[in-house]
Amino acid sequence: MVPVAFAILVFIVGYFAEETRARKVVDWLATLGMFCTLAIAIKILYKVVFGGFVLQFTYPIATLSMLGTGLKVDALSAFMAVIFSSIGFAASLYSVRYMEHDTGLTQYYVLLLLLVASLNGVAYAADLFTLFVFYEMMGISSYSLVAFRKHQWEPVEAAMKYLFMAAIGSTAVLLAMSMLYGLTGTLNFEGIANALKNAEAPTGYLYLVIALLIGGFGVKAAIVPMHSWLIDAHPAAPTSISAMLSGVVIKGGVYALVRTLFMFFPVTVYHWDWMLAVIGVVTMTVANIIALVQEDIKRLLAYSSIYNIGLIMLGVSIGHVSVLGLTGAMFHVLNHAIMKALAFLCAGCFLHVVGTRMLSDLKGVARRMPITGTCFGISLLALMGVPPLNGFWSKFWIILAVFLLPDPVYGGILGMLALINVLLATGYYAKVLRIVWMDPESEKVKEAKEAPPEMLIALIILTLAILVIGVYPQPFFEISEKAAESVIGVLG
Amino acid sequence: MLPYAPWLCWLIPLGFAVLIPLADKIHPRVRDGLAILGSFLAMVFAASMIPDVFAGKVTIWPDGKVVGEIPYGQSVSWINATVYVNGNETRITLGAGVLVDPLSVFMANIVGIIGFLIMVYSLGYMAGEPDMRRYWFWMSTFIGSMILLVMADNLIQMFVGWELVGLCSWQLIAFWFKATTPSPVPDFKTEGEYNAHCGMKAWIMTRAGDICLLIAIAAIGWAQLKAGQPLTFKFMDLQESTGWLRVLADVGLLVPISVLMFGGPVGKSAQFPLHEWLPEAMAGPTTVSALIHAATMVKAGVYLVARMVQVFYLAGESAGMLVALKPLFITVAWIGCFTAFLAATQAMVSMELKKVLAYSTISQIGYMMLGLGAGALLLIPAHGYVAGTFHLMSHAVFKALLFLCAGSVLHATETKYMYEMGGLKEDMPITYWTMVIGAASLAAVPGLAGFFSKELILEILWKEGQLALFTLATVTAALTAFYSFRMIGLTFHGPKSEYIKKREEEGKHVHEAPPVMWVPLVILAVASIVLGWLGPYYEAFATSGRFWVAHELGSEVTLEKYAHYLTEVFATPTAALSLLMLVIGIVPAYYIYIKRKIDPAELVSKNVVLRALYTFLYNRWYINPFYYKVFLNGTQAFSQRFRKLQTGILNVNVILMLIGFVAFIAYLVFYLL
Repeated sequence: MVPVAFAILVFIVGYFAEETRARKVVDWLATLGMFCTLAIAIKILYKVVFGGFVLQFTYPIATLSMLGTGLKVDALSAFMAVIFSSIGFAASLYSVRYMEHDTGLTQYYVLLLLLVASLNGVAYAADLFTLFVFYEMMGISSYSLVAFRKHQWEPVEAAMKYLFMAAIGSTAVLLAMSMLYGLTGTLNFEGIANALKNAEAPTGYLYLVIALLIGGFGVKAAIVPMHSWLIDAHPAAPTSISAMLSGVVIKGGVYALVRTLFMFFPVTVYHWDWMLAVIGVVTMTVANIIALVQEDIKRLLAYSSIYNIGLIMLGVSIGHVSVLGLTGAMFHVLNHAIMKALAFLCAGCFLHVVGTRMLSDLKGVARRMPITGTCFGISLLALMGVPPLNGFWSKFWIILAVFLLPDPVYGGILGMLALINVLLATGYYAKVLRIVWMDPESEKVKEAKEAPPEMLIALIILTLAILVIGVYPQPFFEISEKAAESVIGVLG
Repeated sequence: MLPYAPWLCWLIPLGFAVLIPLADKIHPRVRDGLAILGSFLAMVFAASMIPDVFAGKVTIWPDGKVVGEIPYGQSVSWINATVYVNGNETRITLGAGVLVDPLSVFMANIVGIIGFLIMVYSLGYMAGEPDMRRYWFWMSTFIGSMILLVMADNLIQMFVGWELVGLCSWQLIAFWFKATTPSPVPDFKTEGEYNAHCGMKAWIMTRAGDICLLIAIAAIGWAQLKAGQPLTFKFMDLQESTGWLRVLADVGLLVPISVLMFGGPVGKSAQFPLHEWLPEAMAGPTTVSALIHAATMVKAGVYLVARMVQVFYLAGESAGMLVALKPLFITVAWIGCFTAFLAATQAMVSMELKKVLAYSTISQIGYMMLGLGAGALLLIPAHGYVAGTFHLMSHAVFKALLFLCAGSVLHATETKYMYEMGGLKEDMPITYWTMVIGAASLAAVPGLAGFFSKELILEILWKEGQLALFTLATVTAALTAFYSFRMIGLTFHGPKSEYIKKREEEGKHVHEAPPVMWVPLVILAVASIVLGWLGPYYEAFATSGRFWVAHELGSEVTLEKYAHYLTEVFATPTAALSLLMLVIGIVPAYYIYIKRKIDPAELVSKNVVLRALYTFLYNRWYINPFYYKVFLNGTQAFSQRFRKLQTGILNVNVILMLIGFVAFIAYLVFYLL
């Protein structure tokens, strides 16, 4: 129901803007829309987790309902939707001032709202058809948002690259979908799961489907080697959009992957766990090694997102043996969304005030902008995994779950590789912290002043979230666990 | 104890730390007062637990209600979950708790008392510095997190404190990152950049050790699951259950895992091979070096070893597997002993006053590790534990004293190089005499605290015939005596250096420190004199509680016991040998550096062997350059080359992507076949 309510809001906003040309109205209305979405998403999550309530929506048109059911909400989808909506809210709040010098803001907010709407749609979808439609909608709105500043060459190039690569991914997903439809005659998640459960021994055909799904959804999720769009798209997009991309859009890919793999292909039969674990470790390592020498702050954060995706993949890969691993991964999806969104938004403040993304020009900027600097520091420490901040807990649960695997050699090697990556990442986060806080001020930052209050509100909300989750992780851990169990539960 | 003392002693400084930026808005004096008050309250609450440990039972003041015995734990629910792990429903209980036992109360008091003294000293030492808000914030956070670390009743909560103190250490080492004076090493432009680099080096090197610690923690979790126990990381549970130990031993991982557990302390306490960060940590203000890098944070590693040796030993004892644990204890003892020697040799040639002290800290911590490891190795863990932690205490006192003395010298001369000092004896009498006491205690002059505690450690080695360890430890004692008095001689004796003379011509006379600085010096100096004589009382304190009762040490101090203690320290062959080593060390130092009869530069330049040795030691056995070359430059060069793969050309990206697809399919098809 949320996306529906959403779409209406989007239209209202768009309409309003065209009629009145009162710019601030659009901004605040969009933010209000985001807030309502967030409130509804939280309510749904609450009902699903604590009330055992399942929301279901079937297409009223007969031809469509042949394809699938429509929407269905379980704990995982509700959990994801809350993450998507909350980061959307923060980004929208932040954009009010951040985007004030840009034109075409109506389109911007409509696209942003559409992006969040489609992300929520992906989360709530109950069949592959609905999922795919929303997935593409999410893609289209994010390509356009990356290219939003279309008079510059960099965003346009990045968006083109993103478009091409994501198109290949979508093709793969579409192929996999049609193969599944051909096999089972339905697109409904549960229908496919049941049909495949009754199927005989796994055939090569199904393995092909798995590979296509991992590769296809992997493009949005930015696993190596499908990641190269991300490191161009993130720096080129407006910062609020980088926060959205890094915080939640790539998680859309992770969600789709988790949903389809766990529901359709029991690991005990199909053994994709090894493959996902290798992908996870390769993704982490490649991203970290390249991140060590980046000079562009947003590009560095983009690589760090890839690293975190690797970590999440590692957690997902062991989800079938140990719910703890998947719980950690889901918890990390939440935490990483908050930390990375905050890091990007703070970097955006620096960019907004100083006008450069190069680390060499941002020396000492945090001293000039102490509030932004503190928030940025906390986000980087959380990304580093310093307790008691939220990033520590999710990393800890993932890595602990890996070590707890029954086979100590497998678990031990994977866990140690993950920990070495944690150490590598410490290196570049610490370097960034040193540059923005400790290095002598560069020429460009001499004049810098603190960011405007509207931007700071978004930063402070996210910072408080990091601290609260860090000091008392229990409720968030529990919800992540419920989310993880809901997707595993389908198997049993 | 005072009500809720085990909680409040760390919650108060942490809470006050958050308030400090706000207090700064009111008035700088309020801010300073708040910081001092926070550390004072921490000290009071920590100290209120001492009588409980002596009594063996916990009494809540003021109504005198007895709530439990030592070890006494309190815990609240923090993370509780029932999760499917490896297909079984597993209960994960992670409480936030405190454990009141001799070790934790001992450590909390060292942090509390020395922390308070150093906070007071900071009032004088850091007076007029800008950025005091930042200083007080990190100092208070440090005191709070360090007490959190030692009071925690489980490994995870301890790890939270463990990382926080590391963070404080990073920030405080790099405290003077704004300094614009030329850098002491050529790689950086300003001293500020150098300081920031030193802080980062400390953070990353200690984190490398933390990674090992995490692996060990996770592996213990694995073993608990395998043994069918619920997942818990409480020290008490680990100590009392043996299942996890047996499982680890069965798969042959007991020794690797326990040694990895020791990796965390190796990083934190700057032991070989992760010792290279501590000399650089001296870039921070002297108060920081004294509190964090001498008296407390670097002892966190010793604390954890003491704690875990106890856990491993007691669990191993009830499982009947002490023999299997021997390699662990041997490793601990040897790493400690080798580090003691390694660092002592480097201290002999160091040019900076504070670096001498840093090397000597590394070296002395080596002794503590040696005591803990050797004690457990020889199946007398209680003796090793008492000796190791007693040395920890005496070292905390005399090293804090030495650092604070160094601080007042640095304050007066504004240089850190010893060859730019000299002849300060008359100008700074209080500092001089207190520093001599500190140095003599470090060199283990009989009657001072350092002598007693070091004797106890050597005694253990001697008794059980660990000749190799004993020899190395005794030789190190001679080196220690040499560099201690070299330091005193270079700083206070001989003629005044050109630098000092020039300053005096400019009208900047060397002056004695203000009372707020010298009063803590005198207190610490008195403590370094009397502490050693209180040995049996410390033994009674340290062995209170039910765990040590079976280990032949009672908790009453009798005259007979006291006499036994004194004979053990003074009237044994080891005492005679130590005395000999002391003389061997002091005599050359006296002639070269105090009387200045022989010119050391001439001595070194004439003799080829000495020159080679000097270069070797001065370059820190080439370990530091090696680390830079391999880990820092090596990784960066590799990354630079590796990033070229990321061309940014769409064609290449798509081709790589397609290769990815092919690889995924190939893998799965391969699996099918």
